[in-house]
Amino acid sequence: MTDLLHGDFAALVRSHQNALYRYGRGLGLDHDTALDLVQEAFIKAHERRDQCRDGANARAWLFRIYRNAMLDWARNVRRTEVSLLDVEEPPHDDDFAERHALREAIGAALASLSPLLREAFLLRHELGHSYEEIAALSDVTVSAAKMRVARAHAALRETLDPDYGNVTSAGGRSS
Amino acid sequence: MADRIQRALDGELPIDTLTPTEREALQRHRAIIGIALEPIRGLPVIDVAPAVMRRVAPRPGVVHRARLAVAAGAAARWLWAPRALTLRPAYAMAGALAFAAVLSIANVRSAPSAPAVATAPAARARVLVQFRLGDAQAHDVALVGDFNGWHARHRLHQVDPGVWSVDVALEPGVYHYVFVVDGKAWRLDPLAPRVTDGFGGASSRVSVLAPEARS
Repeated sequence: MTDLLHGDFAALVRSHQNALYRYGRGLGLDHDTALDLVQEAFIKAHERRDQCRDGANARAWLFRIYRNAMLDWARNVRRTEVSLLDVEEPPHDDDFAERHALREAIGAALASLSPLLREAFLLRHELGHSYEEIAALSDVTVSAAKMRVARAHAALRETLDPDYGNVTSAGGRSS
Repeated sequence: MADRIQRALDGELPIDTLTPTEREALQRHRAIIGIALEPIRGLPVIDVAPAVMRRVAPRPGVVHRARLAVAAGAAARWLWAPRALTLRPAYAMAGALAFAAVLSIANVRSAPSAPAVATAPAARARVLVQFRLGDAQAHDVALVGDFNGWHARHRLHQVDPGVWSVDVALEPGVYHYVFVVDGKAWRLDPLAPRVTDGFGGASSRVSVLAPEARS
């Protein structure tokens, strides 16, 4: 890994920067903040490059650094409308402005998910992480990671396809 | 059924094992995922690599100084470390005689000459180097390089509209530098050789010759 970083750190940045950026935007960061945190994450990665001995784990290692950078940022600025990963539940309905901003940023369907479910869903379906990788990044068990993704699916079904439940096992739909 | 659909989505269950109803449900499920992720997939593509590489790349001058410091430290440790020597007395006597012979010859040769006068090494003549950059949009241009520790101590003056210039007195040598436009954008000198630093970054290079070497 040290050789990779010294020899072609720019290639590492270019390989992973857009995945990190989409991860941050999907969790509710605005463009500028997501961009700044991607830069900060890579600079930290360069400073700590000796900590990553295995090049194959570079992606997981970079996601961990970026996730920590996002959490630090959220703690420092106390941006409750982003809520990131600190809060299990989505913002309250009476917090209309925050809710509206988040929906505008990432789309209504994703915004309707709680942060932890949204993170698991993004990692699985947008960024192609395995359940094991999601579990390691989120500090939960693999079964908990699977559960989060399944709950995200169920919630999205209710939002986007309310007729889904009417599909019967006989092949038709109940009226 | 939900569990089978989930397993099919995860690739654990082959699609041809699903019933027609389950396949329809799988299609609907995939459509839901696509719709939910549509805003994310429409995000712009970013490239922070140039900015990151500028910030993590070591300055050429800093690298050279660090290498010199390491070499000097190693030499000092080698000289200072105590060592045990073994010596044959016959060789020691021969060495002492040879040293005495060289000393006596040197005394004879230097006898007729005038007394030695200690002279300080002549100060190296500095050469005035002009750096110029054309940028009609810039509001402030600074010059950073090996010669000022990569600090923006040298400000360029706008000598004509969009033409920035500064004169810097430099000792003969080779220097790396860049222009800093409006305090943030690094610009290479379009008229100077470009030097890459191995990390995706680059700087410009100027070679300053001694006045006598240029004549």
